[in-house]
Amino acid sequence: MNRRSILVGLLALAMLALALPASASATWGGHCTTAEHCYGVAEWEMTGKGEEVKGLSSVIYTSGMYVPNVGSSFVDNEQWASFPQRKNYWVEDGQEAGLENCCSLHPFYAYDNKSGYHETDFPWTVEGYTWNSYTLEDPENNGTWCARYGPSETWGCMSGFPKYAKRVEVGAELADESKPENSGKDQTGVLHLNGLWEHWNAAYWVSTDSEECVGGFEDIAGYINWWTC
Amino acid sequence: MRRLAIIGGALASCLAVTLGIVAISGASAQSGAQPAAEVAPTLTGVEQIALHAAAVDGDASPTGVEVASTTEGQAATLLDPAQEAPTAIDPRTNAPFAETPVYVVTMHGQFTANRRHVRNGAAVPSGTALNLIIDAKSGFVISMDPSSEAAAVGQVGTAQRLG
Repeated sequence: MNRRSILVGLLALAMLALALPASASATWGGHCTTAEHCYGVAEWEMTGKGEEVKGLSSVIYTSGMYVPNVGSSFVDNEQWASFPQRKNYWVEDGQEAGLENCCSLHPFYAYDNKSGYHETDFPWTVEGYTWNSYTLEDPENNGTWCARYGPSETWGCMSGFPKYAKRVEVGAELADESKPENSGKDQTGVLHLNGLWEHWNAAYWVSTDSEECVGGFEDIAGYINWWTC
Repeated sequence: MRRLAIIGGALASCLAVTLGIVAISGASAQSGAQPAAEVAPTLTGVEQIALHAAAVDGDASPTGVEVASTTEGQAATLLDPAQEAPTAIDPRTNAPFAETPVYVVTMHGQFTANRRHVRNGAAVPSGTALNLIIDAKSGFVISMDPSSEAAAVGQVGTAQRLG
């Protein structure tokens, strides 16, 4: 086999490899687009009497990330605290990619309450293959929820929420016209009203489509893996 | 051989993606795509960034595009007075992120903000105004908030009309 044959063969394989994601995108999850986001999450909706929490904390480990349509799409790994008792307000934080290139992880927080939707994406990045710590809590117990990174670095606080959250979620949100690649895992806990951080009482795995998978590990509610599949 | 090496490298990259060995990059990752080098945008560049954001949100022809130069803390509080100025430290400068120079941009149009974070089951936000905060050091878009009201950017700096 001469050098030209080798080159052509390699080129053909490269083109085939490039074509595979494109063909997969035609049926990506059946319905996943930027207009209809897809999710792989663990969720705990607190429907029991007196069930509510005043904080949520997760260490998030992103092990794979590739967003095809940079600038108009994103994939994130994050946690949500929600307030179904008041107009489904929510606040979330985590790390996302697709803003300026396929893969760099930018930390962010976002929320929706009576002042509307607001989002802050930080211009700097955090590491992949690392347990990054994110916390959402109401430290003053007055409806002002704060997003914290690491053990002590508060990044932002937002008022206008109830004191307690009644739904928590953690996992991946995917918004792209083509199938992205993402994998990671999460260990999460909640802050009870007595001031103690505990595991979730229960968790339900939710996958909104056929190409985002979710599973647990260590048999602890709120400890999950997620991956595009 | 150099040509072969280049094609081989491209092949390896393609296969890595196809096989799910996907790139990931943080601040000091050694492989994968690196963040773009920081280049401070000109006012024309700010306008292009704003128009791109508007187009992604469904309105490529916004009206009343205005910009003011300010700090991130002032801009964040302008967009939501109920939000305290961010207390993060900007690792690029080791100064409070609230002091980071930014452009705050507002415009009118019909915006459906698909590229926003929402919890499962929630509708993506929409509005007749789009308010942006753009990092003056890099052009990175920090906030893209659809709203029913255009931000009064003149409250935090000298407002200039773009376009």
